[in-house]
Amino acid sequence: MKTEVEEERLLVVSDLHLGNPYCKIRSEINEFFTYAKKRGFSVCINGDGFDLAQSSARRLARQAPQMFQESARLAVDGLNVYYLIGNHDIVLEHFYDAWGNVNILPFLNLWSGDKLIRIEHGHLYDPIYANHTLGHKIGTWAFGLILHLYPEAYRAQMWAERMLSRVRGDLKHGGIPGEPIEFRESAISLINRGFDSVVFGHTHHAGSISLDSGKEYFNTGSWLVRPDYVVIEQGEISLRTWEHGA
Amino acid sequence: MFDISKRMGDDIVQEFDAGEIIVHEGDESRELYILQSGSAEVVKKSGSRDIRLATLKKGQFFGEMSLLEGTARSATVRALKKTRVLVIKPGGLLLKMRRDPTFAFEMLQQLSARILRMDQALSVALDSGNLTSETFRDITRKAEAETAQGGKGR
Repeated sequence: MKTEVEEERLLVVSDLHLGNPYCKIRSEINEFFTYAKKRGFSVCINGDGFDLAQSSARRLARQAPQMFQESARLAVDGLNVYYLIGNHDIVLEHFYDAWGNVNILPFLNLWSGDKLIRIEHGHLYDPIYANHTLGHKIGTWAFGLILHLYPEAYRAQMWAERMLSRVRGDLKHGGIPGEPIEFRESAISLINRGFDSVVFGHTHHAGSISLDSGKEYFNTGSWLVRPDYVVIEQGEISLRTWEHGA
Repeated sequence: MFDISKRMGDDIVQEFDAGEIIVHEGDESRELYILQSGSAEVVKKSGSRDIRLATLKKGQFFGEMSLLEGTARSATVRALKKTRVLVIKPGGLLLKMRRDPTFAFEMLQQLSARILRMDQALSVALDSGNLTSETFRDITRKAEAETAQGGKGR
């Protein structure tokens, strides 16, 4: 398993959650991969590309095959597709191996320019997932039932998380609004062992922060909220939002 | 060596100038080092010569054998340019693994790669006749005996 790779040009997206009742992605996946192919970018899907816990077979069957086809199109041009395992992927991991043209990895140590960048889904640093994995799973599944009835409940959850992080004082400590401060601390821990930048997903709260060391932590958010993605070109990283029809 | 004496969370950081030795072959120290920046070379004495075994870049680590096995340093590591290292003791390693499980994964990857390289080197040596199977058996028995006694230098 090769977790250390070199790519001068890479696009990173996370948490597409194809199959989720709140997932409204249609043509954007095709547009995004077409953009990558035209501009010579490899692509990294930073976990939770598919959603089994909160999905139905019908929804998954409608949205998932597109991803397989798009990654095959990229491989034809010698571009790479990396799929990093997120918390929703652990069960699916067993049949991802059959997805021949995609590199399935737990995380990516990316050399781009002279920069070393860690890309990782980040669920291991989620205090609830790490300390109460079963409870997190049950909660995710139960919330999935609510989403089937009221898909807009997802928007309320995002709002509640942003409020909670404000109440907890995470923002005062320099975290990305909406996510627990543990993500910032974990990014610092990775920076301390030689990485120049860190890219997580998982929290669905996109953003970027400069750390004390002058290095940066990015979160790619989720396409359930907004189609954010990270562009890496020769070690330089920027967070952007996909414009429909771009 | 410049000990920054600055704790980054629970971590200790040290700085070395080009040419400075980070660990000496044969030393009894027990720390694991992670290169935060710079680069270093791993050299081993063979008679009067120094043989370069590897070059390390930022993000890579060394010294895990001494930390895990309690053995003396098997090689010397020298900074090739200004280099910063994170110094980790066994308790700190466990904490790091808990906080950052991918570090444990990377450590296993490094150890596994080393075993693979040694297996390949051994196959080449046996195939070329530079090492006989009898000598190999003797070396294996000696190593097993040392492990049973608690390890050389432990």
